[in-house]
Amino acid sequence: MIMGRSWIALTVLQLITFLGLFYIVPLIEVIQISLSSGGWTEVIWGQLFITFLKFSFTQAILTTVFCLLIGIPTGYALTRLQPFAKKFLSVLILIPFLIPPMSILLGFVIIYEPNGLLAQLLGFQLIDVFGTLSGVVLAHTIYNISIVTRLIASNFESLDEGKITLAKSSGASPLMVWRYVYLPHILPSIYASILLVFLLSFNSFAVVLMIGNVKLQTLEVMIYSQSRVRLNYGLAAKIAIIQLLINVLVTIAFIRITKEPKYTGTYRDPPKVSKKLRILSTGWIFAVILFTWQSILATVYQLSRTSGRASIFDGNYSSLLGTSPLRVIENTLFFGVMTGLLATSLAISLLVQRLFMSGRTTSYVLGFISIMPMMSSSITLSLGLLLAYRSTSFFSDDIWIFIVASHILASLPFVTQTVLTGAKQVPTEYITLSQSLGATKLGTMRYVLLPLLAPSIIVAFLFGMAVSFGEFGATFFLVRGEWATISIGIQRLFATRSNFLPLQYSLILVLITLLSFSLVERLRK
Amino acid sequence: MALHSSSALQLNEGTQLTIYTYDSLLAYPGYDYIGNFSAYAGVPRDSINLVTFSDATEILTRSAVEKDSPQADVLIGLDNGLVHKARSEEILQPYVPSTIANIPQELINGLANDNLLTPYDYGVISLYYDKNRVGDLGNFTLSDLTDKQLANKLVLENPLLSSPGLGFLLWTNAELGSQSPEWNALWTNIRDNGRLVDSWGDAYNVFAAKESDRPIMVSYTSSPAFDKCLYNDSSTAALLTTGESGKVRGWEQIEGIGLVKNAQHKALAKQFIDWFIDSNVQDNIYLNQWMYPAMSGISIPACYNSSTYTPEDIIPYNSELTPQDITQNLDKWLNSWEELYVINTNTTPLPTWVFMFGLAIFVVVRKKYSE
Repeated sequence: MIMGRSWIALTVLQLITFLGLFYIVPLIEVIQISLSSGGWTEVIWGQLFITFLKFSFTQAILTTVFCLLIGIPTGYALTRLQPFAKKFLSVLILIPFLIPPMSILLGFVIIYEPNGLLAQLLGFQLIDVFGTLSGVVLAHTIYNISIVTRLIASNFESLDEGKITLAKSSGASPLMVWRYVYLPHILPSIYASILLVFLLSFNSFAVVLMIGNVKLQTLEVMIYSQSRVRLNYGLAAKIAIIQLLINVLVTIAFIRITKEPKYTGTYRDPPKVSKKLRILSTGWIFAVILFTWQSILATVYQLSRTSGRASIFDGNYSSLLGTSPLRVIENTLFFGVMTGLLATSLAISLLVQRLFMSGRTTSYVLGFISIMPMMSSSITLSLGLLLAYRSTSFFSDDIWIFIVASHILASLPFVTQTVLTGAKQVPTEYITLSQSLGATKLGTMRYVLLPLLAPSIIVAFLFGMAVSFGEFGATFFLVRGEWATISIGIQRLFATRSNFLPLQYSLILVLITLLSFSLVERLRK
Repeated sequence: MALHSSSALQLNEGTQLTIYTYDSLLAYPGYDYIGNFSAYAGVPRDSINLVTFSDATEILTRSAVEKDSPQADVLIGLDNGLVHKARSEEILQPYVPSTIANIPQELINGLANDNLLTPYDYGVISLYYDKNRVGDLGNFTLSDLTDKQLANKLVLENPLLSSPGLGFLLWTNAELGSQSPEWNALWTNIRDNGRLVDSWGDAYNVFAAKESDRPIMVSYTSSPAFDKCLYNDSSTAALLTTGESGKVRGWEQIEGIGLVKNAQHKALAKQFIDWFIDSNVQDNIYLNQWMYPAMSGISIPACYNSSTYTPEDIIPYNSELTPQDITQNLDKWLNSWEELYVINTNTTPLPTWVFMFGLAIFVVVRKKYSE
């Protein structure tokens, strides 16, 4: 029994140590520095801050509106298809959201730069994306439509078609059917989309850093430039705190307004659809897929017609990358595997505590972990890590530890969710039965739960890995020496105009992501 | 994990010197300073760890982040715009090279009279342009850039991220006065019509690509010599503000090399600095770095004289904008610049109705839902 307790205590210790060292301490450090350096009114009324605050809100709201305007019809169209087509096309639609932002961004620039693919095709420049609001909103919309469509589509699926038939037979016009049947039904997923897209765009880093051209910055980019470029840590910490408060307030206000939307997902029979509507739906969906896949397609197209000397096996860019191009790929894989393993192990710790310990603390910790990424952005945490540990020898000699930690924090909500959802599907009787037959908690865990959970654990591992592959902000803030990742490599080589190596890198990232995703899909069955 | 730790360790053990600099140092057509120093000092080439950044500003910020446990031993490329931050961040240690007598006192005073940095080259920030694409601009002053057509052809570097960019800002400050009406008019026009990039290398890429249509860039008076000396191409020229009695005026950038405070390999680092400001390297500045060497007595190549200003033609503004002024005001100046550049930028090319429409839908839908 004592042994049983001590290993559970060990899992608690693991979780507390990790969150304490890499989340709480850095966050306290940021708060402390923001408070110790006075001058709050100067920040809040500072012209730059107000401008960037307004911009952060404007672009996030516009992105949300556009994503809904495209996402709602697409979600609707998706549910009008036959099961096989629906399944296939919804996977195609989701993929761009899983692709690392740097890859999407590279393709985006190839298309829209002044003499890019679009300008070559049209013969004139349709839209200027550098340093313009429309550029930022366009990039964010391309990235986020996928997830909105997915949320809305699965909400549409649960609609009882009987209601529609009833409404129609009672003489309701198509418009009225939309207003009184469809819209109320999909409201929960609309709310979920608004919150998700708003927060993702409000805290956006990579896109705005690369195409904002200084004129446009989100608060996230401003925190970065004030700390890492201007070395003005006090100001950066203050903005970080304000951004954190806004994130918390938006989240809370939203949960309040929507009165905790119930998300119903019961599967219904597919609706009966006329041939005309089905063709129309398919056409629309292909247009949306073309729109969201444009960056990936542009990358492949550009790579096919670029001949360059610099490949991943040659050393021309070593001093710019800080290491050999091949090592950059090794680093990416190393961070991915470490993140997958450690995040999964933390998630299992959490599961153990949930199963075998009293409920209140555990549910508190759980709640904390699920809202964590909404509260504190990756740049805020990186700033905290820098401020808290910059004078330690770990920070100078083993920066990889902090990069892995930041990747774990970014992936933890997804990884935890996957493991806990998996555990919910294990009947509680198995656990009770195993214990009543005299198995210890450790034994129950090892011989009953873990084998049943194996697929979820592998999925969680893959999720952790995928998040790590795509992570940009924290890595960009912290990285040095020989530890560059593929995303960092793309960013550093962006400006050299020899696109060959960045394109290769980008394609590798896309392929790795697709591979992990197809594994996840396979395991889910 | 074992693999990574061990390879990192091997790198650390084998390294005898780590240098931070920018990627274009002595790069065209190329003087191999690492190879030459390795032969001179008798250390293996592999033991010298060269880390390059896209601009000198990044050398400064990286070193500031690492200052509690520095990785670099020598920093090459911090200039008279960046030295103030380097001083307040305490990332360098004063060092008087054994070869200091090579360098004229006025350059030393212009960069750092406390010997935090030793000058290795200097140049005058100027506009560099392609006469075939814009015509001969002849008599020029900075205020000419308030012309929309001219600013439309300009590509420049961000003063927050780039040392030549900062040099250009200091030129405008010295000539027009920070935040004066003329300064505001100039920068507003550049903001609305110029193209701002992160580094000198980015700017050169934009300048060189004809389809970008930016045939004027912020560079150095010595840049036309590059085209003349290497390609016998006389189509480019440099622009400075025309002053009195045939002289021209601009901002002189002095680039320096310095020893990192608490460097791990001090002895070799000092030897490297001594060597860097001696004739081995200095003889190669004109035709590989395209700047003026800091060492006195090196004769200027003929292709320089025929293509651009010589240092004797130029009266720099540096005597009017002293290092003390810069130390005191630099942060303020950068803030003023950033505010002007960012605020009132037209950020609403999308009509407001799109935004209002979305809000209206939201409100209507919510109202219906709650009924």
